[in-house]
Amino acid sequence: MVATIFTIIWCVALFIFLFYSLISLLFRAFSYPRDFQRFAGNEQPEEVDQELRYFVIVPCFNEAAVIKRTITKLLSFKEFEVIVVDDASSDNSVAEIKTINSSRLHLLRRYVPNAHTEKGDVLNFALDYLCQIVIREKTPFEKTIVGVIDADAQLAPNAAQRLNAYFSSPATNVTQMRVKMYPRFKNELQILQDIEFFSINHMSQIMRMYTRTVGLSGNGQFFRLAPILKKIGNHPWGNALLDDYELTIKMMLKRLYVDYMTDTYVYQEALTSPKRFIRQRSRWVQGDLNCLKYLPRIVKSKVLSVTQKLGIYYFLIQPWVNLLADFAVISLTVVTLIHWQDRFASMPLAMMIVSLSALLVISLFWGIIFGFFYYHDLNHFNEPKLKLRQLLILPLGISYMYIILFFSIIMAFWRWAFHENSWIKTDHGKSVS
Amino acid sequence: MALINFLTAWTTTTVILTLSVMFGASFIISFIFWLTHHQNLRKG
Repeated sequence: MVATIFTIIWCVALFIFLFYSLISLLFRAFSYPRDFQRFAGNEQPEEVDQELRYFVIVPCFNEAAVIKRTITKLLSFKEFEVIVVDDASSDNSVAEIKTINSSRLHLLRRYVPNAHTEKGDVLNFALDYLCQIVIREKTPFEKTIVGVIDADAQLAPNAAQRLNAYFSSPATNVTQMRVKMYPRFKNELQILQDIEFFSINHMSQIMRMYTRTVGLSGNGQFFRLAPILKKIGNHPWGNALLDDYELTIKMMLKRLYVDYMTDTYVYQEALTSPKRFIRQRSRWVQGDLNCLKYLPRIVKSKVLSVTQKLGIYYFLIQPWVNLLADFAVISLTVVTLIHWQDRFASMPLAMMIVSLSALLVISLFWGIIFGFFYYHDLNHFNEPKLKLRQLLILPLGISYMYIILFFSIIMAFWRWAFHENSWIKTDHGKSVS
Repeated sequence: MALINFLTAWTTTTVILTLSVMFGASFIISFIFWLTHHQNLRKG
């Protein structure tokens, strides 16, 4: 009976995964090449709007190892003013920031006990300051573009050009850049994070462009100030641990749909330590669970289409499906191994080899497909190539990454159940990254 | 915990058929979804 229930759960989870992966693949392989020019910023406008004014917010908490590099790189784009918000760092972050001399750099500081709350509070704090500047200097809200970049991030050289192309059209509101990990990987875990963001998430985001469900990723989000203030309010970011997707839901409920930039990207650091990786992912999963509070509004919404609702439901049920599916896979595998002797000992050797080979090939199917697209994407953007050994183990890593993620799901549910909502922040630029 | 006995022909056939139908259904539904949405790209 238990085995049957777990088998059904596994089948349902597999169906959801197959459906989502297949539609993403179809949009990526067939629709995207045809519609490339229509993705955010890819079509060059007749005239670039010279009045656009960009503010990039960089939240900073103990980022001394990377913050100077990040700000310097951002200031190399002459269009950007950078607002760094130090959230009461205990390291040398502020000293590092103060070594940079630029009139386009604004340093804001939060102090304990008001600091160390959620990332959303930090961003809202910066937005208050930013609004004061644009009101004082009479910059129209329609021409004010706000971006959010992580303290470890760096934009691709064509970022400003693509943003100008996108925001020069007055009909545009919000866009999310493609995300990529820094190259020169130290271990395989970093490669897996890169393929996840640069190719797999990219595929999903392309599909979401067609269903109008593109999600913000926190790092590399840019929006026009006027529609956000008008429809969401002065403090758009909430306190869910996944503040970016929370903002996505709030925007969608107000008919503000995010666009996706495919041809420029933001680099961020990949983690090298499995322990820190699990911790980071548990924060994201918990943030997803936090967003469940919007479920009644989504269900009742008359603004969202059925497809959009399904897109959000898919995101919200992911932790639950993953949890159940992981339990099912682990239980069924353990039971099969325990009963191996009873059930399969009499199976002819040839049949056994064929069955196990078939299982291996099926399990690696998506790993091979995603690996192929990743290889193609790296070549397309002249990113450093992977070594042959790394390429060969790539499908295995992609297909079995969920085993590592299982621990993050358990951790997230535990913390969520006991209301432990403190921000488990990811360290950047340390030896373990 | 009871396990499916793959050495019995009919259970093996049932399992393989169920899996095939599930895979086939997901392929067909995905294709229909793509067909109905692939012209939906909003002008940015």
